Amino acid sequence: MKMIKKTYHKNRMRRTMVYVLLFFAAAAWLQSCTERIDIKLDEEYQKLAVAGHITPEDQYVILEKTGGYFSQETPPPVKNATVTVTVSDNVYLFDEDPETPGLYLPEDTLPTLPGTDYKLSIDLAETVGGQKHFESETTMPSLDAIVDSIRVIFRSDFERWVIKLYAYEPPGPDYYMFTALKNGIPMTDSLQRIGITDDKLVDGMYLPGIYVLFLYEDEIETGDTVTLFTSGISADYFRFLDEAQQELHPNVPFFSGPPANIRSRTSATERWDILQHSDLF
Amino acid sequence: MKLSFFFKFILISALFLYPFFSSAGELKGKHTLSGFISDATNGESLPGATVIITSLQKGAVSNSYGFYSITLSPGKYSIKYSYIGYAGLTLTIDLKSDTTINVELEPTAEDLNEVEITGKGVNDNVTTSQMSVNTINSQTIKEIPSLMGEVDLIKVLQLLPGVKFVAEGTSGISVRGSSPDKNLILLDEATVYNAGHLMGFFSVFNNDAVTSVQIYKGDLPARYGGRIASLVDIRMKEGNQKQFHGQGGIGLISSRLMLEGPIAKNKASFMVAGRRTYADLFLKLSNDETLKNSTLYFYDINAKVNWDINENNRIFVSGYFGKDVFKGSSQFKMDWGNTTGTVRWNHLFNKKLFSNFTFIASEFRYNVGIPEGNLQAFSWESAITDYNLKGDFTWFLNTNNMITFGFTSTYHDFFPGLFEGLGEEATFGKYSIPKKYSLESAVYISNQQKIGSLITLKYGLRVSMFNNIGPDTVYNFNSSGALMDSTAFSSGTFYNTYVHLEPRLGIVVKTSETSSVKASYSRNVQYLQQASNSTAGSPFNIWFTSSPNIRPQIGDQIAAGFFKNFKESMFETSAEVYYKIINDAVDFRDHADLLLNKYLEGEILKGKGQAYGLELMVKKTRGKFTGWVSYTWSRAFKQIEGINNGDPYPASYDRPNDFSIIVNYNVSNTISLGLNWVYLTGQPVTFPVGKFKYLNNSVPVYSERNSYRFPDYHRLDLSFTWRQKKRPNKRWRSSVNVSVYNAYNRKNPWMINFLNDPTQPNVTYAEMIYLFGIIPSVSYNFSF
Repeated sequence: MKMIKKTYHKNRMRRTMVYVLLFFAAAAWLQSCTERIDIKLDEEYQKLAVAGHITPEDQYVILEKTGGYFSQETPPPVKNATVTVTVSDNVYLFDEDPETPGLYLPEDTLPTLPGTDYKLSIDLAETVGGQKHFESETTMPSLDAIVDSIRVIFRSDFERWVIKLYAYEPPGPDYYMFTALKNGIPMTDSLQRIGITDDKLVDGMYLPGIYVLFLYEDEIETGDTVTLFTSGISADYFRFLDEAQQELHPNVPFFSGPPANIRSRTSATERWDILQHSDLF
Repeated sequence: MKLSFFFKFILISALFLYPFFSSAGELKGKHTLSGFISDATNGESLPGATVIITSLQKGAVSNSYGFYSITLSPGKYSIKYSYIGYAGLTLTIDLKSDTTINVELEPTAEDLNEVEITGKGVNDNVTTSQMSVNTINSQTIKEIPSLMGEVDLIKVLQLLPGVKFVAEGTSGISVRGSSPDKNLILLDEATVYNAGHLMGFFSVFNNDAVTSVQIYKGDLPARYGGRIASLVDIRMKEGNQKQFHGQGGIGLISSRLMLEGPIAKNKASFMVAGRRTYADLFLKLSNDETLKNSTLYFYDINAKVNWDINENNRIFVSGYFGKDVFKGSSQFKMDWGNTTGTVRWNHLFNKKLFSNFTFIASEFRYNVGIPEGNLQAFSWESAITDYNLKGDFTWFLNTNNMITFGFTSTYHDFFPGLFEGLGEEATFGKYSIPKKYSLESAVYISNQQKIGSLITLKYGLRVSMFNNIGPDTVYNFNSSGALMDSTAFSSGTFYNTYVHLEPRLGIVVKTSETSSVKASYSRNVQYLQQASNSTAGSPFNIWFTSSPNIRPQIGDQIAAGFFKNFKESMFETSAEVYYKIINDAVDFRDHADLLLNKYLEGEILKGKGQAYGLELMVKKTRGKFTGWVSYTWSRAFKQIEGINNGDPYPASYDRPNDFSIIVNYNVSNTISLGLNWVYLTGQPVTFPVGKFKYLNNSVPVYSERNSYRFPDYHRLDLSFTWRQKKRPNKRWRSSVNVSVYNAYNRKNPWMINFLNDPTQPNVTYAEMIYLFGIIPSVSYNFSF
């Protein structure tokens, strides 16, 4: 096997198909007809970006302001906020890490049993985007799929390695995230590279090797150990990742609706990475 | 309650009309002169031709089948028949009883040296009570420079005031700021749900098979409805009743052939036309294996037969079948296409009552998939099928009143989608969205009434009704679109009904023989709409109906205008203003999941839309120079709860300034030159104004909806046409057309993407995609 450069992933089969369509229908038109263009954008626009992350292993909240689109500066952290997460009637206070401004860590570890409800409350020291108070809720999902095995095959027509998943998928709506390690080192370390899917087209089936991650031809080689993480994620988090991934791809009018903000339950740009890990393979 | 109102209207209308029917043709002491007006060279009907009683300065206009009727006192009259581009004909008659005179007019545009760009009666644009309407005949369409040499009537419509393209090069149209699904496109009365070939770059209408196209921008005749923005009425050729005739062409993209001729001279005729692209044949020559093993083509066939059974009965049967086919080298395939069929029966109940009964079947279908035997094999299909029955009556009551009335009922069978894995080791399961059934019906009555010699009124009412029919499951959603619960309905249950009154009013005041002031009000109700994941043209759109969750969209339009002709209609000028408001306008949530979604209705947001504008046009209809100049200033906005914080935002097709120049210059009998120049304000668009980091990627944060614009659009097209001289005893004539699309190589953005620089992770930049540089093309055309 060969060395890795980057992975290719599409989070749902439906979209995979649309991109295949896109490739064949539009490639001839588009390849030689692109040109960088100067656009003047409103650089003053600002919103709060919230990253809430609760897993059995890691728990934190990051608060940042969004940066100007063409700005090359690191987004400014939001300091001195009061951050709490309420679970049942217990209020967990998050303190700002003195070493990392904008990073808030819980004083006590939050429970992570499937079905646990979380309510996030943020009070800022000063307004961002015209607002000081933000709230949001979510629930810890379960991971009921029973993973049988994985296989890694090479598809010469795609010129990609494909990680295939064999598993029992339970009836009812479920949402999954896939990440991978090569020899213990993360390969899917960016939003673009993680895999997500819902079970719309495979609900309640035995999954006979569905494609969950694509790796470039020279990304892995013989002797490497590939580890696949299958995580159950909430519908909201799935939607966040799905929409965020869509925004990373270039728009093509044939298959793209108008660009739009990722839907959020608050006026902040918020994401909750709450997930339930599966076993390791 | 609503149903009973609908039927009461029918009953009351019937009672109202009965006394008139019973006396039809029996007005004391009067007689009726009637007949058909047609082209002397091929027998094609001439709709809109004028018939004037010279001594009375009264007259009539032929209907869409060329039929006219005038009731007069006995006596001698001089009757003048006229139609632009045809030699007028004056007959003297002594009217002693009901008389039928069928008239054939000779075209005057010999050798096409003088090409008329409208086919209508003299000053018809000034006197007709219909507003906001443009007619273009197939000859005009041929003369206009085209993209890749493919003559396309929809692209010619895009050059008219108030009509804009949806995306460059595509055959989608936006009329007065509305989305493309608000246009009713009819081919011989059959609805065409997807008018595009090759992802919309070419329309499905073969110009060789078309005689004319008429676009009504909101002020629809009462007999039409179901769309808010416009009616595009395309009529196929009837077939030459006089002699066998053919025409065709060979272009860079496709070849085509149309044949027509008499089956029984002056009694029955046929027309059949076909075309096919052959880009896929060239793909075989490629060294690239992917391209070499790919297939990409479209074809379409038009056919029509008509038969004059006798003086009172005539039958037309016409059909269209078209398909796009794509197969990739990796077994991936997709195809889509329309099929329509129309059977029409013209019947004269008497000399004053003309009727047309129509049965129509129409289908649009697409299939996508990877065949069984391959990894990840799947099939995905979707279809829309309509069956429509209607009756339209034109009653020429007297020289001052022409009443039209009728009924229509369409059964919609929508199959939103079935996706299933194929084979024993299918990777995918099955996901099916159940079929949706509905019935869309209407009755209407309208009168065109002349009051004195200066005023013409048009007043009518259409009562439309829409029924959702089971079996179906209606899902209920909360305000954020989340599923709450559902209600199931059994087969055959009419579980939801909407009834709406749609008044259509208009007035024309002649200010002189060649000028008039017009005003109109019309209400149109739309029960079907499209969920589109595309801002260009894509066949993979979903049409969905009104339902308990989705109230029909209601459009009210008022318009006023001044019309003036000069030099015996050589120059036609018009100025129109309009204001349009749409209630229950549809839009979609951000990132709406539109394809294969059982819960599509949860993605829909409702609100208001409004549009207003000024349309100016100067048209030269004959002479060596023909063409038009038009300018439109217009705005279009939407206000939807859930988008832009509920504040108004520019609609996607809001392009305030739209300027077009279309010129055709006939240098000689054999050479003509064409020029188009178009300018439009850039399309409104949403751009990113911020970003945040997530998992090592920069994710954009967007501005308010449509708060930016693309750079302005402009383009120049040129054409040169050489035609072989007409030779005695030689029927074969050929011509060569050379076109240059985008002659000064303007890079008009088709899309602007904002991307991360692959070499500098913190750097983002804007990149424009433009589709067309200079595109020269050549085509060879012939007729015999």
